[in-house]
Amino acid sequence: MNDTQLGSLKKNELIITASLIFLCLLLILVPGGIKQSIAGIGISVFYLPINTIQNKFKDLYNIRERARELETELAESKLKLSYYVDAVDENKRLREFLEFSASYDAYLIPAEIVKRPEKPHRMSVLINVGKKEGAELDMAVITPEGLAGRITRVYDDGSEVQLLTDPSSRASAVDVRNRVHGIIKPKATGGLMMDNIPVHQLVAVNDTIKSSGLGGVFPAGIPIGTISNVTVPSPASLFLEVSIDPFADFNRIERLFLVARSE
Amino acid sequence: MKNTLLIIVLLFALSVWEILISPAVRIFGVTPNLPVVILVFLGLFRGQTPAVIFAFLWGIIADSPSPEILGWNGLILILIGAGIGFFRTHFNWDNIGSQILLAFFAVFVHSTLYFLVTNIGDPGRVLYIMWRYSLASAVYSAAAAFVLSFLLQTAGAKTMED
Repeated sequence: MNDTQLGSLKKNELIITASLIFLCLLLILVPGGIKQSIAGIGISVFYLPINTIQNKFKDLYNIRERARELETELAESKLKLSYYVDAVDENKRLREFLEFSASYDAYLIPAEIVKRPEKPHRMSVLINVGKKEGAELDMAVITPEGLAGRITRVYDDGSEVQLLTDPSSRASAVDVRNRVHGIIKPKATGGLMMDNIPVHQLVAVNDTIKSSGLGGVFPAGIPIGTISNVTVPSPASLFLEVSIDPFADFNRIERLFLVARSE
Repeated sequence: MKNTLLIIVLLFALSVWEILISPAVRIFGVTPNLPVVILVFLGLFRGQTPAVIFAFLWGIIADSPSPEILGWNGLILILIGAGIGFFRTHFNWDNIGSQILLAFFAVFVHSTLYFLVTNIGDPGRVLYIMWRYSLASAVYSAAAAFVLSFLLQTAGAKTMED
């Protein structure tokens, strides 16, 4: 670049710079209304489009956040609903027991488990209701779901409850559908079975089994479970092998009720 | 043509920076004054004319949200751009250190003058702002200038010679 070209370039730079400075001074001096109009162009060309994009992204982010919150709320609501459904079921069962106790001139004594069974051959639990609270020997013990067992020992402040799953437990029961009687006892493989049912009796799967009241220990009509399986052990067998699915979950018993007869 | 396109791209990129990125990189209320850093590098690498045109246009864009001071930002930026154009021919600016130093002083001068214009009736506040923001912003901008300078040098860019 020779000196003439360089000089021309410098001159151009100077003219442009001076013109722009003049324009700036003009902008500073023009009235507010014109300034507003020019600023409006700057805002609408540069700021608003970018702001719009920014807001869209913010909205998207907010929607995702809200979706996460709603998912959490939904999970909590499902949990609550499940709890309420359980509570309604429990309430229904308790009502049935209340009706039962009313019809049998009996009342229920609530009890809590203090100690759970430790040995597999002895399925007994210790409860916090004893002689003082009205517990008596051979008193029937139920859960909100069904028959649980009977009291085998009574102390002043506690009692021992022999569960239906204890190897020595026996309870008289009846098939509600056809009034077939039998004896409820634990199966060697776990669970319950109904014994002493002749092969010609028409018991069927899903039949409801309740206490029969025979034997004098358990009042009649307490739900025990449903028949889950019926088999004939061998062609020469005289009795059926009837498996019972108990209503009470013996592995997860939390609350018990003693069935006390009114004086 | 090439410079016109570059200026348009830079104006949009800086608008995005000012609205979206700048608030996110704020440290104690201070952000790097990237438009001035860009102005410095534009002046050094593309010459005075693109620098002052960029300065004028960015001045209008930057002042758009506050129309009452429209023109002042552009005027200050043009003076800085012209100053760089003048000094560009007197020193060798290929060194990263000198580029960072120039960016530091340019940002400090811009911030101080801008705060002086916008707070003309309150000199005490100007002094406070000068120390609180101008200096801090100049340091932060110098860091940004270092990154930009390094990238340009890696790309093999050379400062403009007359």
